[in-house]
Amino acid sequence: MKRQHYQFHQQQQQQQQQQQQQQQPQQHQSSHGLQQSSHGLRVGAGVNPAAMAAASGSKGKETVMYSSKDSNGGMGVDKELASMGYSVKSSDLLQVAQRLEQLEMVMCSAQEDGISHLSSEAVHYNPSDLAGWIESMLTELNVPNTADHHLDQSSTAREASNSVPESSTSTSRPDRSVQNRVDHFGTGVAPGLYDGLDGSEFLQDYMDQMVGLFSQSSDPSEALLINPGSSSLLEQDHHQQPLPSRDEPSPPSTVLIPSSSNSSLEVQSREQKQLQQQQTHQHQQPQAQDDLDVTGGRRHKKRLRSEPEAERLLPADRPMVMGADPQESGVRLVHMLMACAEAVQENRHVVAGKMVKEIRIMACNQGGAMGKVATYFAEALARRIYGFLPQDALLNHNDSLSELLHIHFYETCPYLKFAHFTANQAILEAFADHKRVHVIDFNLKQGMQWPALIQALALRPGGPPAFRLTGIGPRQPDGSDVLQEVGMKLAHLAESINVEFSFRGYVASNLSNLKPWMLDIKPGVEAVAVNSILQLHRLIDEDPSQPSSSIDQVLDMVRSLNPKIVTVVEQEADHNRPIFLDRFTEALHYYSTIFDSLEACRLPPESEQQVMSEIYLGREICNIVACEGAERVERHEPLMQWRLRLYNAGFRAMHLGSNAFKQASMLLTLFPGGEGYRVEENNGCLTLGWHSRPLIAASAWQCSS
Amino acid sequence: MRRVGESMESKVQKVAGREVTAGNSNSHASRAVFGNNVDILEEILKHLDAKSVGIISCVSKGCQQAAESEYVWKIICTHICPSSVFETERLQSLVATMGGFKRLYMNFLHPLHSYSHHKHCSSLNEDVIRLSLSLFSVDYYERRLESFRTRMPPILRSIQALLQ
Repeated sequence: MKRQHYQFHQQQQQQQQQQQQQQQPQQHQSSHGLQQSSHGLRVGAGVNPAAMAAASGSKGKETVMYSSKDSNGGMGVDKELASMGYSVKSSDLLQVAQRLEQLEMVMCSAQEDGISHLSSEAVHYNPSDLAGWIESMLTELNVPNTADHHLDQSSTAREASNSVPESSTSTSRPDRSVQNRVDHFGTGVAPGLYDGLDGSEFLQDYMDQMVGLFSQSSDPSEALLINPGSSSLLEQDHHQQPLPSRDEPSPPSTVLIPSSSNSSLEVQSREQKQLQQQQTHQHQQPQAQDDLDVTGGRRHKKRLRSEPEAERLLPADRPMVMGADPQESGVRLVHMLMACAEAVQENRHVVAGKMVKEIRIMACNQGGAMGKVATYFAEALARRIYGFLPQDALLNHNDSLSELLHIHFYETCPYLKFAHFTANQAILEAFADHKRVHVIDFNLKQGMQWPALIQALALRPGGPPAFRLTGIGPRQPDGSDVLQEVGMKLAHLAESINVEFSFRGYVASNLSNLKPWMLDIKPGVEAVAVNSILQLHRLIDEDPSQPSSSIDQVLDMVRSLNPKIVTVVEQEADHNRPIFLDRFTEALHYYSTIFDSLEACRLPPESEQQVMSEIYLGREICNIVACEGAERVERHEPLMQWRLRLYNAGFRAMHLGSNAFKQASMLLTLFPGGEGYRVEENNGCLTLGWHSRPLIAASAWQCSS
Repeated sequence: MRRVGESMESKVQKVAGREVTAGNSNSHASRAVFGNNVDILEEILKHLDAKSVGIISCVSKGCQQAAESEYVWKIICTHICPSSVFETERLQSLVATMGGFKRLYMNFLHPLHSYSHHKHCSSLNEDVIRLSLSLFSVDYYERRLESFRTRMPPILRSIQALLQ
């Protein structure tokens, strides 16, 4: 796998690599998660080794393997586009693909100094701003410029699309590679669209052809079509010739990826999707001003107002490979999911419903991590579209099935173990020299965290303290007293290792119902620790402007207990944005990453452990995507926001220390696929992530005086 | 996590499968050598590594009895992670309660030790021991929870049915 990465490095130009170091990530946080989807795509889809080998061939060599999907023989209509409402002949696509290949050849052989820069730099385009791209290309041809805009994001994107997860993320910084992934989804036009000799005419020709292809489509009921307004905008851009501005500081958000692994058929589909997205964006422009499409919506708006920047195409010496490898369908799957989510955002439920069906079929064909993620997201979208929400029991995760899923997830992935052990280490250190200790656990579940702490207390140098545990749990649907059972088991364990133990359980449907007097704290006698593993995010209210929201009440209550330490572990994700599409995109990347890490565990396929863990995650996905209002309890917020909240509630952060770090690193070695996990220290907090994406963050807090 | 321990046990069992017949005929012989005094055998075993001890435990019942001894495995644990903590009474009774040194070694100390070995850092010994003990205690707790899980079959079955 590293081999493939290296081959792509070989292909990249020196300048691109240098420029990569210089470029600063400027993408806003929502695109953070985007880089993960390509992980999902790559890992889940696998890489076509033949394509890779071909791609690594000598520069200028083209390897063309015709797609097996084009089984219509060029006579029929392209199926995927038909599902989107276009009826386009496959033969037409092929023809344009061939012309693009010709262009590439011309590009390779271009020797003139005037355009040599075109063959050596990367270009980035906004996939949703096709008009701007066309405009910029035309102005480029008319006013050749020599300013260097390094956009080696293309190179990282290529890495992203073609190499294995480890290699690509090691070289790209999160924010930048985010863009790459985004662009990878949206673009894919082959390089070499410029031709110093007659490129401009060819380009015009090509553009006309593309527009012509689209105007053949029928079915006016679907808003996916080119509407007259947008196409006029397109034509309008053709006539404009503004000077490209070079000083645009923000990195371009799209990449024209040379198709070493792209089929030109795919290229065409992506072009068309681009155009479609372009339409939808322009369509929704007046409607949803604050609908920031992560794929570059902001930039899109900027473009419409300001002048387009000069952008370069990628070196045209990449071989083009046409193949139906899973990576392509993975990209398409993501694209479809995003398009469907957009449709849902705009309340175009008919369209969205059709797309969801398509996505389901595609996801089944895809397989791998990406297919599974897509299945869960498609299901959640379907639930949202058709208003079929899961029952209450499913949401509240009370029943024994939920516990079973939790146990399996605990065993399969290191995230929960990391959470427990890190919190335990912090609590242990805080409890040094105390003879009586009291831990309050905000959701006891099966009490898996506490045996390790009891054991550590038993073996500590000064002898074990008297250990008191207060476990809080939700009401059980069948009325059984799980808390008491767990308490008894823990008591038995503590007794067997000679630790004085007492337990009390509280059933509370909402943590804000808990009052300090209930907890029976003995101030001055015992040291109190409050432990919250993935519980605080459930307390965040729909409307944050409310005066006394649940989360504030609970944090005040905790503060009033005057604890020695408060351990908080939360998902490192931004799943509580007000706009659905943002949430969807973030969640897609977050869960793609987690599913990737699950896949890397190399469990036997369809094994109980793997499936249970996936269902566990699938429930979270369902809640984030399909539910709204009080039912949406999975309101994950990133570490920065939690820091702010806790700081405002009167706490200050405690550094977790090197012992916790070492312990976490060692823990990961026990998990298959452990090389992919990363423990990072973030201002005293520890995060565990998959490759460069942190997924779960553990922090410790004490009361500020 | 349990894979290393299990693979070792399976290896040992493979050897056992081959040697058990030999063992029966040899038991008379081994008793002749050691008598009924397994202590001598323990003293010998404590100088060996885990794999050899596993193999020897297949030779005969007397050998197996000697090889199962906590004393031997405690020494093996100390070999792999030298630390004075193994000598403490508290730790020994704790480990004994939770399932014994052999289990601690096979399932936790051995896999984790290969990590610290890889890092070429002997000061990690204490951390390795601490983490092993934590995981060991969770393992002990889970084993006691097994009874809870066996109440689950109907749900498991229905899930598996859904997955078909």
